[in-house]
Amino acid sequence: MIQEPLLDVRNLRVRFETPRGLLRAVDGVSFSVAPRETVGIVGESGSGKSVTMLSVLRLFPPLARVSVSGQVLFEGTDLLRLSEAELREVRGAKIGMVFQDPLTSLNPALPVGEQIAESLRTHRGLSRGAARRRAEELLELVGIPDPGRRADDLPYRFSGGMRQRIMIAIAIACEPKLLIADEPTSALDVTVQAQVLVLLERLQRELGMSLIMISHDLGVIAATSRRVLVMYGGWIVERGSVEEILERPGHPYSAALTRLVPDLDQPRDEPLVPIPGQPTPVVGHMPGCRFAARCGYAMDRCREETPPAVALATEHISLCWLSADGIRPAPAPTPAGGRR
Amino acid sequence: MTAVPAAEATAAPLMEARGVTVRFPVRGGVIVPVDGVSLQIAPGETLGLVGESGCGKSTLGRALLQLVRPAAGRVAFMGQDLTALDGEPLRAMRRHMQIVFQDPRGSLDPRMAVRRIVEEPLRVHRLAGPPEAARAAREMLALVGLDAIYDRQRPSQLSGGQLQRVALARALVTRPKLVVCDEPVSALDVSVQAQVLNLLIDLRARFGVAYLFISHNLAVARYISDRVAVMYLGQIVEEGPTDTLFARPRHPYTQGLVASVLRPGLEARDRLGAAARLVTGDVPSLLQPPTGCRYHPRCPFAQERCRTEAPRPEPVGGGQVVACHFWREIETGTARLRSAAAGAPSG
Amino acid sequence: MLDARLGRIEDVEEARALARQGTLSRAGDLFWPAVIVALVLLALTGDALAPYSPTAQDVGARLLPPFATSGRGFHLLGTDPLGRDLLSTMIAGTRLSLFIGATATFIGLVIGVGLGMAAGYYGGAVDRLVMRLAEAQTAMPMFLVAILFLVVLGPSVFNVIVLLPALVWPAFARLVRAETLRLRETLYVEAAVATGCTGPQILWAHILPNVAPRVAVLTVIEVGHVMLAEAGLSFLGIGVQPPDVTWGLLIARGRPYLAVAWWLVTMPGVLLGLAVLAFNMLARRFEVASGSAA
Repeated sequence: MIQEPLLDVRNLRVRFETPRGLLRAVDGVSFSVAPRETVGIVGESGSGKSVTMLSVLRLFPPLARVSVSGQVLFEGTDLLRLSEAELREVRGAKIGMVFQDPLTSLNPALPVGEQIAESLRTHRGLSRGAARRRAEELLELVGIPDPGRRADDLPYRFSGGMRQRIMIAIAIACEPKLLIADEPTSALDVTVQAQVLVLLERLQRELGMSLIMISHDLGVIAATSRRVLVMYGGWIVERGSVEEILERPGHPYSAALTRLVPDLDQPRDEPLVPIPGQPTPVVGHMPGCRFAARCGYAMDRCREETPPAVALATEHISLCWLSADGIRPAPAPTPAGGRR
Repeated sequence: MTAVPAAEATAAPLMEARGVTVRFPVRGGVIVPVDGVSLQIAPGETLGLVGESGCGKSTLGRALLQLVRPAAGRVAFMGQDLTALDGEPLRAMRRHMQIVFQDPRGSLDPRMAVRRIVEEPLRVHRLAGPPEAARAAREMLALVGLDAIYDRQRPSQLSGGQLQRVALARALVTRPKLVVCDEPVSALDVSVQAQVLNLLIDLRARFGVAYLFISHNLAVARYISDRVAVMYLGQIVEEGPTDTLFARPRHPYTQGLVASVLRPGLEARDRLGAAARLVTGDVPSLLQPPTGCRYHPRCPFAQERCRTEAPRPEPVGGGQVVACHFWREIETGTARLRSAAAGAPSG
Repeated sequence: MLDARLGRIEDVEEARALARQGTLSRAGDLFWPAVIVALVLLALTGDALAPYSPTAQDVGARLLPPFATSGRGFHLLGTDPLGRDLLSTMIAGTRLSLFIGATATFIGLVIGVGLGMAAGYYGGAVDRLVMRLAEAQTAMPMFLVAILFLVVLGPSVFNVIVLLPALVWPAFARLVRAETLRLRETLYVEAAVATGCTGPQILWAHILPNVAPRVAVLTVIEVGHVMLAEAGLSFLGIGVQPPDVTWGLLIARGRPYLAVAWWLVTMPGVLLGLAVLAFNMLARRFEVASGSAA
């Protein structure tokens, strides 16, 4: 049984014009999200993960010189071809978004209840009274105590964890089919993080939503996602189920990520293996694999030719010459360790 | 790499803080972000200081260095009481105790060239003339992995990871005995974090410097520290050698913290639910800290005594110390769950 | 909301910063700086460029209008009551006008920046003292005070240069004090304290370089103010005295003849206005380039 995907991104390319040349933030990204599914996207800064999601809803600032090509099919309609008015219908009502820093994402001058109610009035056409009541219900749903009174409070009166819950309430107010969460817990304390993730999971189940979880934290991805997309330099370098990616990564970058962060369950003296260099935005034309400059397994071919997409298992695909040769990155530290 | 805790008491500590308290007047009253904290750091030792936002760990770090002056308490460092020093004598001590901040870009003067930034401590403490200082700075920068090409560049031209290396070079150029690292890798990309952490370890081995490693990330603190102290709302609730503290956390808050860290493994899903149940609610405001044990509103084992009486730190063996009334019961599994007499739970 | 969030993506932020840098390179933007450069060159080399000596009198050619020709030759801007070529005297006046403007502003800058930094960094009694002085200064009708001083002490170029800084130092002090207060709270100043720098070391190495851009903008504006003030004083006869000549003095000399020889007042006036305008436009360009423009 093949379901019609809820979101189908095809060959998305996002380019920014800079004085130094064309910045290819997203370069040929394709993926899909089924109904009621949680997909995780892992990547660091410059990987294009946030820009991809912003492109889905075309949320760019007016000054940026951006060109977006490809298709973003949501329930069959290409969002990139919609007019601004039609797009506004989709934003908030069909697709909700939760950002990393609730402090800058919430309007500091409006009471939180009002921010939720606004969305309801605009998209659902509710009356003031009905919208206010529903807003209070939503605050309760996300775990804000005493919602009747607190709906009139301004954002600064809430802690970080509560503000994030309020952001979630705003995002799900119109019961969207798809919720995009961009690093929703990165700015939160670890004990609050668990509660917010549990909340997201519960809401997803109750509302039957799909969830795209973007994070640089593999632990968050492991706890929430079924499928994972690993992004680097504007590409999806590996995709697969969470088991495959964590336990049998095919791409050197994914493999390196798992060795990069200290794990409470591993012995303390297991060394961290850094990836040399730093993520740099790709400006202008760059031949070969985007990761080659930092990759311990890089061959000459990697620097010259774009790597192919290789199927390592059903639904497990790696964009790598190493994979094409049938080799997996070793579980031991990579040969090209060392600093910067 | 396992620490041997027993000998601390006999070797003279490099830094010893007793009853350090910091008070800030704010609108609506006074907050006490650090409340009667005592700790010790042995020479060459790395003490991890972990806790979540608002626990006071950054303020404590600054208070120890007298960047924020404590309202009460003593801080003995290299045989001197820092709290009693001021002006020139305090300034002179600073060459032995340095700090690396969380925000690498903010902590470096945007108008100063990289090498000048690293020369500054040497010039300020008159440890070297201009040519000497330039040479020493270049050496230090090379040690942290930055080529000469960066010497004349300004901070805006370097990445976050590179800037943090510059900050490290600046901190170590006077060969201090102690460096306070305040969340040094939290603002960096994951792939760069590992580089900087390994660098910290290398430099520690080379110079024998002690670190006070402040972090909200438990796994990172565990990786680099010999001993760890856990802070909550201005107080240290538990402290001990890293291995034992993480293997057998005694304080409910520490247990909650450890359980809340999501491992990049398949069990993460199942653990998520358990983690969310172990610690409820949000951190209370410092303006009205809870009575008795500060953790009691969020603790699954709180009893009436926890609401009325603040627990004193008790040694529990193996160099570990806990401040909890019921740590024995919790450990043996005989602790009673939260009673109504403990008051309404938060969250 | 969206801009703040997108700014966190390194690539986009970098792109925007780069885009901002491109604003300096358009050719039309060089006009006002060119005017200033021209004036400075004129001040330095004017004597050689002037068609006639500024003091050469020719009573037979007095009060000729612009574009007139006399026995000596062509007078682009006409002549004054004593037959001196106006263009030449204006060129001669350029040097002193600019010199007084620059020097007095510079002295005011040194005083103002020094006091402002001390007030902002040390606060307390130092701050109160400096701010009281600045308030007192601003409250007094500077022009009348200047008149009083100059009448008592005697008008001269030297006295004017000593007096005019009083007009501008409060502006510098206030700006620098506000900037210092802000910079004092930055992390890198805290880092400098942690390193063990003394107050003066921090002021010199960290605060001063970081207030410099905004001080530069203000300096350029204040030069314009000072030049206008000097012109006013000279116009009243208590500033620069003959045989020294500034544009203000020229305007004063021409005033009695306004009805019959309008060019004597208008030409120096236009030049003065042009110079002040050029300084203000330059200040605006500095602001844009340093990224602190609105």
